[in-house]
Amino acid sequence: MYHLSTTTALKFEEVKKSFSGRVAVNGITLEVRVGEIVALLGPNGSGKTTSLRMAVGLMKPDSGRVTVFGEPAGSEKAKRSVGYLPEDAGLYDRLTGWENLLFYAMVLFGINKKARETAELGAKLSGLGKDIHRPAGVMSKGMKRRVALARTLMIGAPLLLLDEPTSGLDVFSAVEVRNTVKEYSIRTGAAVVISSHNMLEVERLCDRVVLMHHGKIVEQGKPREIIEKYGAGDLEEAFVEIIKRR
Amino acid sequence: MLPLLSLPMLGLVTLAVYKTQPLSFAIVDGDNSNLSKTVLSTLSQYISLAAQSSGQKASISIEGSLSIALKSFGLDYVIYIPPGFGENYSSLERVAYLEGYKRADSARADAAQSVFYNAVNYLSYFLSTQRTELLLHYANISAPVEAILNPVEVVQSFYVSGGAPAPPNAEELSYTARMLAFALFFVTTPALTYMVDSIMGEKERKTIESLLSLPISKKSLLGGKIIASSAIGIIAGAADVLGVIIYFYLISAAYGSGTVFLSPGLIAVHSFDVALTAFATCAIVSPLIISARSSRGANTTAASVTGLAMVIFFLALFADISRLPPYIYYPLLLVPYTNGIMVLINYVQGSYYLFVLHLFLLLVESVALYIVAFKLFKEESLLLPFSEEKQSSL
Repeated sequence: MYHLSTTTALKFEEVKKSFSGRVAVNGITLEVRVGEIVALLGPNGSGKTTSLRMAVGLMKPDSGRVTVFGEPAGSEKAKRSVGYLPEDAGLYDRLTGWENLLFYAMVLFGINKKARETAELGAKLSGLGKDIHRPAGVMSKGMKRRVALARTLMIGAPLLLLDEPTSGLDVFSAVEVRNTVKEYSIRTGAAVVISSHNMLEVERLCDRVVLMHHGKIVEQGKPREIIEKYGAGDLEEAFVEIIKRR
Repeated sequence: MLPLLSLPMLGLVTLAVYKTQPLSFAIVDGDNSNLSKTVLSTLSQYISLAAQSSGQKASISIEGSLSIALKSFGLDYVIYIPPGFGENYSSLERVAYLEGYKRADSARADAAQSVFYNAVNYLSYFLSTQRTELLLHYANISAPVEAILNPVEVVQSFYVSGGAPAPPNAEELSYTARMLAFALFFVTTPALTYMVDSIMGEKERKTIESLLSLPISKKSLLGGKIIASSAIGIIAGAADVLGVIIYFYLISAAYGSGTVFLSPGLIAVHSFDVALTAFATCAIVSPLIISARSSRGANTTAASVTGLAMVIFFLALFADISRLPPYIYYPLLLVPYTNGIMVLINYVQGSYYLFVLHLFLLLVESVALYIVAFKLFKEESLLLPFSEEKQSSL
């Protein structure tokens, strides 16, 4: 468990971002608390990935403020608190899964014992056993995704930002990834923000759902509350209903 | 690394071909006088001698007629002694003409012509000596023939900038410095290739986003990429430079032209020059690659920098850059490559003040380019370079 001075892991305050005149994020305000698992839902182009990238500091907001544990997003201190899994997280194909983990650990901690221990933890988190020593280029998509997730989790960040972590994975791989994330959150007390299209995943995994549309937050709450509010059978039906009304 | 193997191989093949393929002459005596027969024999000896002195072999055949000789396969040069040659040769009042037929489609004809002209010079000098001795005898004058035939001679000395006598091997060092300056071009290509791959490769492998999310500063990330690419550029470039040196050494041996001479100081200066050239190349190209919208754009950018490097390094081979007009010279100094060349040239010329000045300019420009690259380094540019991705990833 983390002993942090603030209970707010991530905060967006009136954040706007546009590209070449096209609005991607249009004044969102959002707070994610420590220990909470929050899902960002929304159609393609609704601003989910841009929001996550701003939280990591890879993109700067045009206006508004993004903070991570009170620090400006993108600052070295804020980045040290973030574990980020991009939607298309690639690996170095010529390196083995283990070497990929070790490379990132070395970039973070230098060539020392801590880097090796971190990579060993990553190898354990991946659950790939001996397969972690296979070249990434010959790994299946599911195996690659597990290495990429392990790479994100191994540093022990108190805030995880996962962009469609189970996208393109088969049912078994997706379940394993979800379990790994859930266990990590429970074990460490980390806040987790997941961008996803998988309603079942969101319903089972997340404490809160934030629905984005055209760069705005159009609904948020616990999955069960949203389903009941819109008189839907499940989250997917509620989602379609909300988008229709907009 | 390819030039390390291919260039010496090319030099060896050139040397082998040059040494083993004789210059092929045919001489036709159209005069058939006793004197022309003597001249034919003397001329043959002079041709062999002239060929030997330039490290070549000559093959000489005697043909019966000009038409047969011209139809013969494999000749480079045909020499015809026309009717009346003997009479003119022995006269004090007339010029004795020899006719030369150079095969226009022979790669060796130029060398054959050069050897023939040298042989004719020997022959002409021999005849001039005889005619002068005869005239002195008729005029009853006693004077050295040399003083009449060569009344003006040149005594050649070498000096360096500042007027001091040139140290031993100064000429060879200067030639080598120009070769080394040209060879710097071979450092730029691998450095550019690795720099493009280290940035665009990360994007293509989709590892860039994870890498950028790590708590490492832009300075460290870009500096690491530039230093790594420079290091690879230096290793690959050094091998290529070695290949170029061996090539020029072999070519020098083949043609008997300038000789390559390396001193420990020149090697040290060149090594430093190679390192800074690789670093400057990476610094020049990195902001351009970062802002490139596609792999093709990045490669085109790299090719443009290669083109710039090629132009400047070729200048080192054929021009004295410091004596170019000021409106060309000073703008050229804004390019680090020019200072890289001037460092080497001034070092071998012993102009240590200019050597230090250009070294300083090279260093300042390299660091300035790195700072510009760092300032222009924007994560967003790397995440959204391709317009087609821009729409889908929002």
